[in-house]
Amino acid sequence: MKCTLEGGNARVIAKAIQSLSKIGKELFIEADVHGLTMRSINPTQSAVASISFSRSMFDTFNLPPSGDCFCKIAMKPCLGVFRNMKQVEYCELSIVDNKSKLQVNLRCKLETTKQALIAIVDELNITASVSTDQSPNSIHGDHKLFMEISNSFNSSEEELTLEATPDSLSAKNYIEGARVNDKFMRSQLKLKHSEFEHYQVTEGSVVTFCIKEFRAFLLFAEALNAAMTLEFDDAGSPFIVKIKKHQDIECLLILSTLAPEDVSFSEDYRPRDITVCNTPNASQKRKSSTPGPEIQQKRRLAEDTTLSELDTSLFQFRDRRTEVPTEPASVQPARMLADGDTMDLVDEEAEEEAMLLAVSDAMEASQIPRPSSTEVCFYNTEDAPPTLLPEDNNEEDESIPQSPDRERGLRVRTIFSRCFQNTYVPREPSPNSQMYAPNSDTED
Amino acid sequence: MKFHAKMLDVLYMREFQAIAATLAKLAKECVMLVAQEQMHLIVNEEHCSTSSPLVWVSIASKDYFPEYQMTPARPEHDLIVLVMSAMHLSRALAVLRSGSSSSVHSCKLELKQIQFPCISVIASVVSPNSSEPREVVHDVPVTVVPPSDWSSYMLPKVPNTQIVLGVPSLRLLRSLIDKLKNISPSFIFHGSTAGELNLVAESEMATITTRFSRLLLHKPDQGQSGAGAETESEIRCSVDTRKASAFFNALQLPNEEIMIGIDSERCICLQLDIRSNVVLHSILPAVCAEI
Amino acid sequence: MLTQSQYENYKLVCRLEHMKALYSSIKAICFSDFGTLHASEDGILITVEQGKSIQATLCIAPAFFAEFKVDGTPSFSVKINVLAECLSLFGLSDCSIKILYKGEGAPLLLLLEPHDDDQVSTECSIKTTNVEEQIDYDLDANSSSLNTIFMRGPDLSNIFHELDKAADEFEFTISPLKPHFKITTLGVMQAESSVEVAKSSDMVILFNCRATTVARYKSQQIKLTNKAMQVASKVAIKTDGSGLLEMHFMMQCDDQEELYVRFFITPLLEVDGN
Repeated sequence: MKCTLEGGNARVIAKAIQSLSKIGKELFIEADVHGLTMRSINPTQSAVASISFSRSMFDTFNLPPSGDCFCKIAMKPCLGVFRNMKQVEYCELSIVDNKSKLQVNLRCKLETTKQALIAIVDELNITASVSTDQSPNSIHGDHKLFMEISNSFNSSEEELTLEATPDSLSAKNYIEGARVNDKFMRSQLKLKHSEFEHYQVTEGSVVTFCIKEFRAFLLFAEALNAAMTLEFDDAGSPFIVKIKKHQDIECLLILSTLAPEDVSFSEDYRPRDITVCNTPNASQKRKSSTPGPEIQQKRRLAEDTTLSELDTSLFQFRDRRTEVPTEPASVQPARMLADGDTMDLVDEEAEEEAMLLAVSDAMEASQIPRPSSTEVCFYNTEDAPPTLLPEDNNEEDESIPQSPDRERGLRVRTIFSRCFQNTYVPREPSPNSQMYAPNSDTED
Repeated sequence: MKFHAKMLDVLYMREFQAIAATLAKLAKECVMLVAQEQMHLIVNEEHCSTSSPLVWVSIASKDYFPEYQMTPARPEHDLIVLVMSAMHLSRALAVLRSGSSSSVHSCKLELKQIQFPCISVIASVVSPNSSEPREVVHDVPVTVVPPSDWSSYMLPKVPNTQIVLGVPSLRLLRSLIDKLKNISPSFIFHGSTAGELNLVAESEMATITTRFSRLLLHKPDQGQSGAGAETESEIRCSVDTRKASAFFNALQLPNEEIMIGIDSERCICLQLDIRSNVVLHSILPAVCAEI
Repeated sequence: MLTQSQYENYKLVCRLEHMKALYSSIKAICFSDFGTLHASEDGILITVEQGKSIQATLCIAPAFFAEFKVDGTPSFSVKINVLAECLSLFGLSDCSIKILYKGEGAPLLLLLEPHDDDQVSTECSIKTTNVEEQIDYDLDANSSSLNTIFMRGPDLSNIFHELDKAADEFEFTISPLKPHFKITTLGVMQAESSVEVAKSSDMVILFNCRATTVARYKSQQIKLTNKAMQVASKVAIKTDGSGLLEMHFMMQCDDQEELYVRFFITPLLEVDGN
């Protein structure tokens, strides 16, 4: 592969790399007849970003005779090459040395030339098999507006929750009603729908996702001075960010969202939560102590608010869970322990409250694409052809039955589940690791 | 127990934000004493190993807050005592910051119970990109201090000083003390009734003497200074350089003048008049100077 | 304060109206503990060394000062970072400065007066110690391989700034044919990079090269020139077959070279035997 482009466009690519570098430690580059695509995935695999540049951005664009071309390189050296682009007048990217190196030639002002050779780590590509066509909720607005939302939150914040109603959007650093510890400052920003260029939210929806990757993408939107579109369905299903500029640049960020059953709610909030929240709630028993009659009644109340055609009794619910091919994020328990908030509180107040309520939307199971859709498929060129995995094949592969016993054995097992995963899935251990949507990788 | 206050003036909101930002640079925790006529904010990490000095700010409630209502837990009390994270308070007020492009219509403070007691900071903000006002809410978690523990949270008293000088060169003073930190662990304030202040830092490698002359003498008053010999004498006190530097580097207020009071060999009292009824104080205790 | 007659007791008296250039030049050589000052009729030299492989000298001509009086050739060592701290006591405020030295055993006196506040003045007295031995580096001026390049400071600074910070070593190539002037970064995982400047580039003021020289240097030592590079208006790079690198950083915009920093950096030994 060899392509050339002039300085201004090279600076855009540099900005894209800088943005992607805040998401993952590796950069996946793919060249095909449509142009060049760069992708990155975060270490916990809860976010995949992809930025595509059309052929029209390049002066010359030569593909190898074999057609497509893709490679994986380490982000760090790449970032070094594309750090300072002010002086660059012309840029040439090529794959050399028997596909072992990516060569970057930068012709700069003042008769200066820079050359860099970056080792190709692997001939790998990633794709995310998430349908990005139609989401019930879509919000479109200038990057400045989203920047203001993002800037309202502290940089140490990890998650952002968007509460969308048909006429307003609230951005919060917490989930309404969720347990927080007494050192946590809840922050929220309330915006009217009229602030956005386009605002389509038919039913209320609450989604929680990782803010770090969102911010990384926002930086690129700012560099392009482009508008952004957010598309999402409901908690647990993917949250999608799109940026488009002049048909030349298309960007897509897919973020997993926090599944409702992973949130522990505060007793103080529960009644209000039930009346306010549009999503049907089902309570799930987490602690194995006998609920008192009063709590039994409360749970009944919760169940009553669910859609009638779905039987959401406790046992039914558990059965459903066995059908859904989920792998509880292997790192989730670790995170809860590390945070020391939810888990501590559970222990402290377990006696009094006897149980924790977790909102689980039954609707998700029936309507939203299976959690497998948030999965990121890795395939090696040696193992698989460089095309998208067929959808049904994917589905087949993933629906390996899982142990129905979620209550007991799971907590112990999840800690070690990394050992049971497919070996070619590179999952990096990270102290910060967290998953927001169930991953469909099976653990057995 | 109830507390509710509202600010409407942009200038006051900015000042309030600057005060919170200053305190956040000095300490983790901030004590808020809510009284009928005044609100006090105190940071005191003297007992910790940090190098921050004791700093407090007293605000006349009527000046800053056109709406200000406080109801103590019991009628015989006249205070509400809250402890909160200084950083949280500062972040919650950051939207009021001068220089931010958004304009703020109003800012409310409300004591609430949402899972935990909090001060809700509710700002109504208009961004330059849209005409619609937005509501920005931060719930700063607070600990309500019971009256039995109030004695440890009381407002410090300004010590009696022999001399108070007004130094109009706060910027130079800040830069100087910051550099002295790298020269010597302590330095000496020498004040004279002739309106001169000398700062002396001494170490094995260097001695640095800085003179601020022709200063305004606030105390003793010109009238009283007829006492002769006593007023001629220099009043001096040696303080911890890191502590002094922590104070000056934390200041986020636009003041150019600071009042420096010296209680000979006991302490340095610093006073910043943000406006007539809004005053920031700090005390730098004396340390043994190596002479 | 000192009167004119008292000056007569001093071995060295200098006065400057604006000390910004002096401060940034001293900051540029602040990479070691002690600096040695030599004064003479020709001006002042302040030398700093680190190990046996890098030496920086700040050279100040008498014309740089508004007033310059020297009696004999006084020399002494001071803690260079203390000197730098004293010069920056008032931060960004420009000051006038008087530098005084009485002779062996006496402290170095600095009198600073900020221009923007006449109520403030400061006096620093910095302890001096005996002169430390220094290494004499020299390029062979008659060598056929003596290569000299003069470049515009800000442009060269950009190039150095963009060199991969993760690199262990930099290789400098100077040759009469292409690539003329080339720096290659070595020892970076999964990447290698290089930058070339053609001799016809506008940033090159003078290119005097007869034979190709190639030498490697520790990137950390090259990085010690950063602060000097950032404020230099013009940079001279000289080397010969031995690989010893001499760099001059001119601190003034005009052509008078009253204030410059000279670095000597020794090359790494070739290990791969090529």
